[in-house]
Amino acid sequence: MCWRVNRSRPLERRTDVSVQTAEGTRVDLDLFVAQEYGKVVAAVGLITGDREGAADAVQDAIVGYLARPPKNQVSNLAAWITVVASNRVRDRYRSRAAEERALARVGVEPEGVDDALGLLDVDVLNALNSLPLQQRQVCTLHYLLDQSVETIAEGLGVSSGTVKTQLHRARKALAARLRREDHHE
Amino acid sequence: MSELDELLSGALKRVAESGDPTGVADAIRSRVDAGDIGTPAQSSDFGGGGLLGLLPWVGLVVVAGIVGGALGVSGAVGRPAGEVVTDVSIAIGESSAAYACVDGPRVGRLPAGTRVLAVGRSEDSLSVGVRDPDSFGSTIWVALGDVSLDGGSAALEALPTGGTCVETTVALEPEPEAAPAPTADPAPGPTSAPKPHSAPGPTDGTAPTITQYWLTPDQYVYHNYPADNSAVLHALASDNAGVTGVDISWSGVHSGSATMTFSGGNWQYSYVVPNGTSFGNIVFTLRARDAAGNFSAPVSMTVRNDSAPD
Repeated sequence: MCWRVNRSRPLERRTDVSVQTAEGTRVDLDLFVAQEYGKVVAAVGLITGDREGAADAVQDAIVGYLARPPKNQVSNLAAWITVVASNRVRDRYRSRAAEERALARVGVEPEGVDDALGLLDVDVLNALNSLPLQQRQVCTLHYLLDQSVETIAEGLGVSSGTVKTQLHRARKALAARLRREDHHE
Repeated sequence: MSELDELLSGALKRVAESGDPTGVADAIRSRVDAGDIGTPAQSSDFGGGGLLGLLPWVGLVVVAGIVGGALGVSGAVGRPAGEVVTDVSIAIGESSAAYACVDGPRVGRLPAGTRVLAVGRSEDSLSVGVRDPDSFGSTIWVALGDVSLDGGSAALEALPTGGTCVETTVALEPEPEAAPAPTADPAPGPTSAPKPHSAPGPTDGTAPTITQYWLTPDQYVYHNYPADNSAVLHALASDNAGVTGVDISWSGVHSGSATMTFSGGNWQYSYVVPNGTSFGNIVFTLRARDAAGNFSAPVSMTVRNDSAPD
């Protein structure tokens, strides 16, 4: 195990503590956890519908990144962790039906939603859940984590055009779905 | 930012539940200290013949539409039954919905003008592996002559050797037997070109698998409502020798059958509810097939034909 933790700094300065991964990439773990962890857990929870399992999946992905880091530098760690963690949660659900059951359990039906949550938000959440996984990932990175198309593309190792295509399809499907919900009201 | 963008951004931020970072960093350190490897990334997370984001990316543009005949369909590949053909080893493989290779079978399509990222090259440098624009987890292999590399040959050389074209025997439909030539004629007539190796290949007993299927925009179609009276059914399928087609049939308040078409990296069928159809459910059943006649296990999706929204 080649990584090491710099324990020489006081606890109150944890944001400066960094971890060197096996490949020598220095990761400011405390800074990442302080600034990105909450949002990444939120993103994985939205993408997978498994809010309870999201935190575990994200921590597993961070441990995996530190223990067996990729050979090349990851420029957008939040996107990287989001995709790896949400894919692993997805893997746990062996079928779409099982995934949909999980989505149902998190209370996306109007009667099961917190009163503070508007019906429109519920519609958006339901519409998001109807998208294929990759569109959900791109949508969540863009709209929840405010990442640009270029940043997402860089983080996922795909072209900007690919992200734009996924985002375009997602927006189209979401718009159709939300328009339909609006018609129902 | 459009109204839709603002709506989506606002709603997701209100709905999302942030994780509590308290103690997380220490917990992670403890796990790594203890030798826990957590969840290492898998090659299928992002595709590309290795772990994500590790490869020097080269942009390229598809020059000519790469439209494949289905693997093994008589005439599409144009090879005699059982011939050993050059197939392709796909870096990620099983989930790939389309691929092509120099002198090999071409399955699926990439429309001309598609801009994709190259992630590897074959050992003979005649093919490049590109990221499937419709699936981050898939690599499509295309003949180098079909694409235009942004950086020319220098860019190609920068790509890692991520896959090789290998000799693979695929089972093809047998060609009709030609009428036997008269044996008593001693005169040397015109001879046909010699056929390449035509030893029969092994029987393909592996059935395709439908790996993913979904509906757009969702499970509803609206009777006699022009803007919303259709749904598109999608499927991804894989097979050891290539998927030649996906059959679709439906029953319920409306019944019928059709063959899905391959477009945009997945199999699709656009269903339009006919006027006069009763309200109720329509159950679609999909089955993928390969050249050897193997069928996948069926998968089903349900569309509800509902009343038109007010």
